[in-house]
Amino acid sequence: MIDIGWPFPTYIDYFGQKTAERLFQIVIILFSIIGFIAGYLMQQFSMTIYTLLFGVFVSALLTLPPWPMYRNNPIEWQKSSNLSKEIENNLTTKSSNKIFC
Amino acid sequence: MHSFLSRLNTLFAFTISVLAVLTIGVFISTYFEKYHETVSIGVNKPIVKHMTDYSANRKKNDLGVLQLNLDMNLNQLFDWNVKVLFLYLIAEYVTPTNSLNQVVLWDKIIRRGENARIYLHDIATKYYFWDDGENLRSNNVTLSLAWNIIPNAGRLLHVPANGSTSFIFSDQYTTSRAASPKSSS
Repeated sequence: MIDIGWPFPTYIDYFGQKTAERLFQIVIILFSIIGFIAGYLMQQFSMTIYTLLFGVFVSALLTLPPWPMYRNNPIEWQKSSNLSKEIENNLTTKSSNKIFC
Repeated sequence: MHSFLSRLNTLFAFTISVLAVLTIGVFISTYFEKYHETVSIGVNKPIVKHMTDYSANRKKNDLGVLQLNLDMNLNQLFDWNVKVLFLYLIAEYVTPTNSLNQVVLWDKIIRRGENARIYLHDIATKYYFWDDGENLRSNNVTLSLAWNIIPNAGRLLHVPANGSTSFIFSDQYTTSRAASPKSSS
């Protein structure tokens, strides 16, 4: 995957991803229906394509940049515990188990 | 969807899918279209010459020479699934060796947006009307027009036009230069 070094984070959270996907699907389908009807009335299929492309442009503006509305529900990570101590504890319990077996 | 590029990718893929659905919709909306139209074809001064066909076997073959009058309005054919219209005029006749001979005498490409009102008066045929033998004299020839519909999406249709015309070539070869249509008209 190409990695573009953006000067700002482009990450959006899980809830934002769901919202963004739903949003661009609704926008594009809406514009395609309008375009289909307009193209049929004008008997000009290029009209349909241009309407759809306009819808794609609008939904790109709405969903591609990491707008703040997609970053309202950040993931709540568990508090980091003392990692090295935990590993030590695990090791000791495992080894003690082996002895008892 | 988490990064800019994956969002761009999802958006693009969805757009392509919607485009495919729209194209299928165009195909379905014109599936039952018949694209029939009536045309008027006229023939002027048909003569037969006996000449050497250098493009084929270098033997002396019959060459039909005639002038065409074409009158048609095909603007109605251009619905939203027609990209290009290809018209061609066929001459059909019967000879003792072949039960059906077809020669294309004239054709025309009409792109979308171009004027499809065609009125041509006394034009020479675009292609030579060579017979592959010597059977054009006093032969009954039927001229008919047909067109191909080149669609945006769907089938390549072949539609014969309503209206054809028949004529009979004279039973004499024309040899003199004065009788040829180019110098007389």
